[in-house]
Amino acid sequence: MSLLRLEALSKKFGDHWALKEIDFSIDEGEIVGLVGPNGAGKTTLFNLITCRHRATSGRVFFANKETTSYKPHEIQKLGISRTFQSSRPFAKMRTLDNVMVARVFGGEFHLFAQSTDIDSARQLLELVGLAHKEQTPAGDLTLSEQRRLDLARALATQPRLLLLDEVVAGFSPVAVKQAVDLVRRVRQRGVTLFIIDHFLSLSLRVSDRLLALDHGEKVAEGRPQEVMRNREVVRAYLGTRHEDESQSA
Amino acid sequence: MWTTVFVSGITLGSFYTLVALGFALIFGVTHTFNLAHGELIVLAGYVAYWLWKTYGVSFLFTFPAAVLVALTVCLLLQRLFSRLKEPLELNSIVMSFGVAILLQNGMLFFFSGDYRLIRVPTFNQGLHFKTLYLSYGQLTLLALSLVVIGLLYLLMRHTYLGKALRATIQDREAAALAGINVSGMGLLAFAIGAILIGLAGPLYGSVHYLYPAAGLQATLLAITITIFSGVGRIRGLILGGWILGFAESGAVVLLGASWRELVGAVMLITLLALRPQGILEREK
Repeated sequence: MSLLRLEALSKKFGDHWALKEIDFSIDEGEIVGLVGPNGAGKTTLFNLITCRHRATSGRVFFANKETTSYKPHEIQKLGISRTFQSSRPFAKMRTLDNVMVARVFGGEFHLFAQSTDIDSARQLLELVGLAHKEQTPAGDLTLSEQRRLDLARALATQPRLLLLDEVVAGFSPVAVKQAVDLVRRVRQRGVTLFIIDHFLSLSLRVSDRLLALDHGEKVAEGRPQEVMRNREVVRAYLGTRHEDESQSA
Repeated sequence: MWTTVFVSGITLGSFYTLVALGFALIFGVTHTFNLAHGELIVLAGYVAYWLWKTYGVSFLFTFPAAVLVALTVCLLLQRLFSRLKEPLELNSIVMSFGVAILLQNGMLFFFSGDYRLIRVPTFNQGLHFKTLYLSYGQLTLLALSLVVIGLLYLLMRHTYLGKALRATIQDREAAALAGINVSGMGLLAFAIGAILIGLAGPLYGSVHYLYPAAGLQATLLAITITIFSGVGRIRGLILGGWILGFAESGAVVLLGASWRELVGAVMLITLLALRPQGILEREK
């Protein structure tokens, strides 16, 4: 039974098709990488799934409900959370409060802080390695710390599906390795993951499957090694050499 | 003399903070730049004046009615503003300018252009501490302003509703992702803003003359203080209110009463020219 299902999902900006007839599904517990060159439509796909933008046509199903025209906070309540390409913390709030707000509004609302909120927020900060920064205003964290805070905040809403948008862009090899471990630990908590990763440094190592887009169209899906050998994918990433074109012609 | 400046600076300043709070909250959460803010305060003031003058309702009991009227009008306005498209700030300036003119003419029709003041008899008596004199009017103004500001501060800092409002002010999309209903928060901001406006109105009518065009000055105050502090910073708003209060009281003593209204305008223009991002806002 698939957790997320996309049916002929399309998005048009002006005259330009950002996404065209995408059919895809993700099963519970999977880690799926979303790859493709710049402008392939990766972030647009995330924006449609999280209802930040409206689809031009096609449908989205999540946990057996059609969610195509939900509002952003409604889709979040149903169990989809995401991080942004550029980190977006609540800059003037303490790191701990950032996570606590997400925990309370993503789950059971109550007016005053309870000790269980603080405990679970601390656990998440521990998970992403920010426990020692809990009193720091989120705006004062470094870039990689802010990305990890984004992740903790997204997890605090207790999602079933988590969409990660370029979490490791600009990370050092060591930091990427830490992120790989972190993603695996997140999966162990029972979260299904969908990961945008332009440079493939994360998704090739953790993904069960890849979905490759180019110019808004699906060019391949399947096991990572297969997808990366796919001619279309290679061409999209590397371009085609002149002699290849003449051979195929 | 300077103790008088100090006392009136603090009381006026605290009241100015109260005037600015509703504006800053609504602007921060919904990006609605409400030019009709002052008119709404004057309207609430007129409601109190009318009840006090016509039915002899005692000053303190006019507050619930003023709050009720402000709430009704603000929630209607919220319906109107929520239909606006991006860029919200610009579109809401144009629309609220129209609303302000509409309210001014409505008030001119119902209350005429006469200058009106809610004269509470006991407000002219007061307490003497050596050279310091505090009238009951000032005391009421100070106490009510500080209590309301304090309550709002507690709400914003120590409840999740307040944290969600602050989160929405800081980043609306990230707030939606954290499960916060952003349009719900907008409604809440208008409701709280309306309560603040409803409380400020009668107080305004007891310290300043009410006339249909009086709202402009209150709007100017609110904008000046909000730009000074940046949105979503109650402590900044208090500081801004006090500085403006001191500047006005000082100007009255040094230059004469006619200079008072100019102080706010000069401060606003200076602020915008020197630090358009807000005095307390850190450089990015």
